[in-house]
Amino acid sequence: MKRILYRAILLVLIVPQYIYGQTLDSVTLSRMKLNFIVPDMPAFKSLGTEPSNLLRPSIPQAFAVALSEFYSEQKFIIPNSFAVEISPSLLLNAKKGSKALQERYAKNRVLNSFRISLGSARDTSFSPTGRNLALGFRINLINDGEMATDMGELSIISQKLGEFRIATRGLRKAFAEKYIDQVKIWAKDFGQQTESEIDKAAGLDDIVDWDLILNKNLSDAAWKNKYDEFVGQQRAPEFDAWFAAEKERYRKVNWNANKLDLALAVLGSSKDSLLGSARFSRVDLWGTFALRSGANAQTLFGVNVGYGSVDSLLKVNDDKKYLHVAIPVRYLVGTNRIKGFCEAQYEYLQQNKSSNGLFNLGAEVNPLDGLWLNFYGGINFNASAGTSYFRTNLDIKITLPEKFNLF
Amino acid sequence: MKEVLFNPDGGLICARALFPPSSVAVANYEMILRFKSVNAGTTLLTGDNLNLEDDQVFLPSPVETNDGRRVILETGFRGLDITNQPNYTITLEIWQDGNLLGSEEESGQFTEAAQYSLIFIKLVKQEQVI
Repeated sequence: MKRILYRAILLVLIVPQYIYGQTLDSVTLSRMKLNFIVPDMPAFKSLGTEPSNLLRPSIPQAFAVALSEFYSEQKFIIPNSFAVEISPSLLLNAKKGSKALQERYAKNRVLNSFRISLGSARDTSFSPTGRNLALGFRINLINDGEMATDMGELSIISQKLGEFRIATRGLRKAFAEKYIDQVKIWAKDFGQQTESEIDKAAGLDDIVDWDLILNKNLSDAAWKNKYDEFVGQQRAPEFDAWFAAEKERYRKVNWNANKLDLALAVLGSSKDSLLGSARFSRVDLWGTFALRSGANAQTLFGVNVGYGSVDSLLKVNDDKKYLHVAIPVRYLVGTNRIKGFCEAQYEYLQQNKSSNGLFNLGAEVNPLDGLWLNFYGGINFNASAGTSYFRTNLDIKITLPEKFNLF
Repeated sequence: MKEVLFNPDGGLICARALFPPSSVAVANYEMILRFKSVNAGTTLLTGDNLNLEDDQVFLPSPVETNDGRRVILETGFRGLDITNQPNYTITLEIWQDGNLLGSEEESGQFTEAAQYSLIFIKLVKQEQVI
């Protein structure tokens, strides 16, 4: 356990340093990042700070942070628990993009969705300075609705770029016709035709490769400004406005696309903050399928199976391991930036031989790019004992904003 | 203008375009063959960088007829992740009999807008040494 945690910490700390040592050009396999989804992560979930056992499927992000329990008894407090997640494939290094690289990435899309998370939480149940440490792994088996890998969507963009290319060709011709005397001067310098041929030219068609000549001379700032001014006066290519609108449209209609995530987390506990004191406590497995349920809704079907000791440090002589199984279902409705949800969960705890139920109502809010607030409240009841209590949760999760430059 | 020498008695000439991967930018292109000493020409190939096949095409035969012609690569492209991938290179290569005869490239920085690139290569018949 200690060895695994040591290696994970080294990986989380060293990989970004290694990447930082490369040039900016070397960052590869980055993508058009659309912040669709609350970045849930297995290491964080394993810490057990949230009442729900549902692991939210998410798209791979290079880096994500989760903080929980920062609001307690009507006060904001320093978080008791946090986790970070990195995606090694998004941080891979290659100095040149190539089709071979792209092909390898496409073929290994599932493998490239692999992410590692590391979480820590204070746990005073067995020691005043006790901490839980968790190491999580996750992959996306199904990841629909990712713009950068959605070939259908990229084909639409390509078609629009084709229209832009043809329109730009037309604009350049109109500009060259307007300034044909200048184009003739440039053509004489270019030296492909004799001066008399150029002088006799009745129009652009008589100036061989006028488009190449114009293209070269548009590197001159004064003529570039004149050309930009000309384009501004014409019916300029509309690609850019279209692209901004299309990106927004795509985000709106794909926040609830189908996804399937599998994850595993190993939890260790320590009496103090020293890593050397950590002992294995529990292992958890998650599977969550997100199903598009209409235009503005999504249903999440989850399963969580865990096996381990409940409190390995307090009861040092009790090495019994217990099974727990949770089956949560969450129904979300709304838009990409704000969703309401209701959730029901059945949970079996072998330790107590008890069946628990959870019913939640909550919301996910994305007030700023890269920032997610997730809050919910509900009733947790023990069917075996016939007891119930009210529970609330508020946490904050952060990913890199879409336009944030990590390196 | 970049000039590339070819063997008039050799195999078919191939023009090949190279773009950034589609995860970095989407590129839509047209490859044009312009006839000798005029602006008239013919489209050799149109396409984009989305499929995994190489963007290449053979020029017409007889090979010698390509003397003085220009191969043009016109591209419209848009960077997708400019913060992490700020630079681009578009390359036009000329091949014959498995050998790279020459290439021309355009490099620059992506902007937050659609961009236009135009690359020319002039084909020149290699004189026979007797």
